[in-house]
Amino acid sequence: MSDALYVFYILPYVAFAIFVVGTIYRVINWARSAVPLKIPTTAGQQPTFKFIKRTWLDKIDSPSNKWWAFVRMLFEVFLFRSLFRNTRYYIEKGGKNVDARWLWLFAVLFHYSLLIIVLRHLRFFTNPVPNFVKTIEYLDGVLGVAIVPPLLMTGVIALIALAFLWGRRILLAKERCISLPSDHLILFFMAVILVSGLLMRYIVKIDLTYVKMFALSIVKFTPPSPEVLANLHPLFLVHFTFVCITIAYIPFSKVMHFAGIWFSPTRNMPNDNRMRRHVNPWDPNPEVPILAREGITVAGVTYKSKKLDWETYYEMYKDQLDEIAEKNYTLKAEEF
Amino acid sequence: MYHKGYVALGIVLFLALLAMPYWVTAGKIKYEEIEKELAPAKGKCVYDEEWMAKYHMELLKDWRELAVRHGVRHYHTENGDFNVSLTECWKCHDYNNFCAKCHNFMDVEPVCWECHYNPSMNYSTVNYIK
Repeated sequence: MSDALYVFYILPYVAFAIFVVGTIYRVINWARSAVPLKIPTTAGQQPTFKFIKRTWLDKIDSPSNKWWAFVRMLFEVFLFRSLFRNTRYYIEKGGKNVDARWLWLFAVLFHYSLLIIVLRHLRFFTNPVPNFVKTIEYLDGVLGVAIVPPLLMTGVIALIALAFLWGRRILLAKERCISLPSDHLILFFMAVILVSGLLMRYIVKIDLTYVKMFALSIVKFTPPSPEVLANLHPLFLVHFTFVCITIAYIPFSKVMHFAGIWFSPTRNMPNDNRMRRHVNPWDPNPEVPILAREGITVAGVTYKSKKLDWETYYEMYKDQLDEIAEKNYTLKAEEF
Repeated sequence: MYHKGYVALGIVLFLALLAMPYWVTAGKIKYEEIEKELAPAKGKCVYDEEWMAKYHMELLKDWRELAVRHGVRHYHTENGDFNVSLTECWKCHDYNNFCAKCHNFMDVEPVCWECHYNPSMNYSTVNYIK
């Protein structure tokens, strides 16, 4: 039995390997795709005549250089600015806009709570615990000292925010329509992790010393003793397993937005169309046209030609074109 | 690949964030078998060791309510009779080598000592209790 428990020691390494390799793979995959056009989605005043005033808000909204684009990116990443501006999603019958910024509020609460929760978990992975972790935990629990152990507000806020974010996908008709199984899956993972974590802190007490010894053995790359593994509480193993599953699942999921946001073309490009010419980085000025260099592959055969002329085209799609010719070149919808 | 510099910087920052436990402690993470380092108790505790390890804070909370709100100062378990008071703990346990050691290991700061006395304190007002 105790040997089988070493699965839990190997699990985080497997999960992290998948997470790191998968994330880097996806980032590089994104970095390899060209952005052929500059996409100026903006509501701000562009730089123009000197007497047309530009405030700092305009500069964030319509950045004319890399620095202000970077600032816009920071606003996006740390304050979810696009989400904040999303107020026109629901249009009532009377044509009134409904303020949907509660979504922004709960998204911000959820993300920042998770950040603080993750930082607080450093107390399990470091020994001696650095002071900033202690400070974070103290500030987190400063409002909840009335109970034992002190109620940490981020845990409660994250749970409430999660309930809203999931409730939104379940109770609102439009959101329910556009929600995919993967949207619910990640929320389910989050719910299991949060609830099991809160249970362990406030209701089902577990012996944390073994948990910390186990966590330290993971970061120290030294397998824990069978005694430590045998004393891990089942609820902790549920919490831990779901964290590992979530970490391994991230590269395949929508959680990749933590990296993808940096690749948003509408956010990370300075809006300087009129100052600088944006050259399509994808094959901008080839000596040999891509048609001749790489060709087009149809049904396993690659055709290379300087120009796509009729003869080559006919050769490519011979079967289909002949079929059309047999029917006197009359095209009609397929019958089912 | 486009914007190689930015992408490389992003990946380096990402990996650095993941390695956070190492650099926030300057690479010195100490593995401790904390259970073996705790000072042995001089007598039997209120309940068995395993229960106390998990629930001692709940017991103290109950004791607080018993003593402060109900005036009950006597607690009977199969391990004997106990005086409902924090000072009862110091009869068997060494504060620095038992309580504090584990609390420091786990980074748990009990709020008890904002009002109550423990033997590690060195205030002239509480020294007479020792």
